[in-house]
Amino acid sequence: MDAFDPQNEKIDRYLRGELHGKELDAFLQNLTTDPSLKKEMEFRELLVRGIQDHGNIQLKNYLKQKTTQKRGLFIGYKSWHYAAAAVGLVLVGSIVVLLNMKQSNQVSNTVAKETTISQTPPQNGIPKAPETPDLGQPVAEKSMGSADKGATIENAKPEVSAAENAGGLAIVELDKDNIITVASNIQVIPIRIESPIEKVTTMSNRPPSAPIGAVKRKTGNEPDSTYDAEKGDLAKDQIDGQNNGKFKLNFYSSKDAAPQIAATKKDALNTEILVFNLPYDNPLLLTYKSKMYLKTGTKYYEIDLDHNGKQKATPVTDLLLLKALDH
Amino acid sequence: MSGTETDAEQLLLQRLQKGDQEVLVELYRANFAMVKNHVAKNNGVVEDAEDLLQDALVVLWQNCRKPGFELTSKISTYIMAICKNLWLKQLSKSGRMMGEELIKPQMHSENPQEGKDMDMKKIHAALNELGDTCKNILVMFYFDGFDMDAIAKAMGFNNSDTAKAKKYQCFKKLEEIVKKRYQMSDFLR
Repeated sequence: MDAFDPQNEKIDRYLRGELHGKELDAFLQNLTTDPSLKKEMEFRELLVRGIQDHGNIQLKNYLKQKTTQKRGLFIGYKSWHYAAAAVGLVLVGSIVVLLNMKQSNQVSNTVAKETTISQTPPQNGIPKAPETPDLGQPVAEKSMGSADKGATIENAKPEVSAAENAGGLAIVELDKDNIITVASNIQVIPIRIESPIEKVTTMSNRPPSAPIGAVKRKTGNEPDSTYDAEKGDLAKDQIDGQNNGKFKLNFYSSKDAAPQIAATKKDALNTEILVFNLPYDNPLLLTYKSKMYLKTGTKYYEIDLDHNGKQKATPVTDLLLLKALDH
Repeated sequence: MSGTETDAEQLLLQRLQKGDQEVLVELYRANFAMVKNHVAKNNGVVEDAEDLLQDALVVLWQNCRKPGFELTSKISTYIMAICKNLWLKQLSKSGRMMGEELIKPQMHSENPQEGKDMDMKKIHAALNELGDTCKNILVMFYFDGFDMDAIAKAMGFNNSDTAKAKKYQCFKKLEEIVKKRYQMSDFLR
């Protein structure tokens, strides 16, 4: 069957809900007498539902974006007193938030100094993966079939991190097993880096429903290449490394847990942002202007994944940058 | 409807059929108050009305390109009918039903997601892997319901045959990716 086969066109009409009456009856009858065709159709229907679901989400997002932006403008004149009260509340709220931010910044700065990232054991309160697994298979075995020793999924339990106490400071800690723990006030995302920087494996603090996803980084003397979606290439981007010039970020495909490009978006100046959707906890990795960012909850952290054992993530506070990432 | 009104409605419909999404935004704004009132009177809140109207507009978006689609009422009446149906379904699902009867708009299913109880995220991920061109073609064909001429024009292809061949190729690629990784049972929740 090819693109121009009448049978293929009929299947498409069926899938688009365009077959009716006798034509539909005959088509369905044909399915009942041909089990292999029926099976094939079920699979195609599933794919089409997936495509339609995707389109539906895209269109609804578009509508949400377009319609909720303007909502704040519609305040009737009869509601002026509510509006005035709301403005008052916002003012009071802002003052409270500003005071809190001032306080938390002081705490954050203190903690940041104490936990400058290095290959030393993690500081108190920062969750780290244990040195030996308690249960389950090593992550690398699960995700890539290699024989690395390391933390297990169960090791990555949610804990109250120093970052939580530090008002949103995200900290990345690298221990002797090359386990990096990214701690934020939202959740804990330990990342394993295989020495020296061959790949990064993300782990979750929740029981996974699928194998672990992995991020592979290649050191690069290879020529720069761009993401070629048409060829089904994996995501690539270049990040300036401190010693090594540029390296690539390659996202592995490990069955259904593979990090996927959730979106390719552009900022106001048309610079591309690739958004990688990691499979667990809904954190997002983004690359933008040769830097890497992690989004957890509503916060963004710039991740400096260099390979000198100094790994850190710092909260993004630049409003313009935040706006671009959130674009 | 007066002649001028009919012309304006027809113009809106034509823009919709050509794929002008901005019309949906216009229709959202024009119909929100009405939908909000209906929902408020029937155990709902503003957020319900927002979701409902968005869903209804998605239905209109898809239906307006179906063969044989003909609008015999005002667009707002049509949207309202879909909203009422969807809201009744939602109420009956959540046990908040008030005993109102289903109002049938003239044609088609009201909810494109009807019967969905499967994990579609895996297919979304496979679609993303295909790349933007393939993804857009497949969404335009299977979700938006555009014909091959429209797809060829939108994608800058020479003609509808090129679009058709490309669509076929993209669907095959999607099949390959999904078949390679999953069993049907992987999609059941």
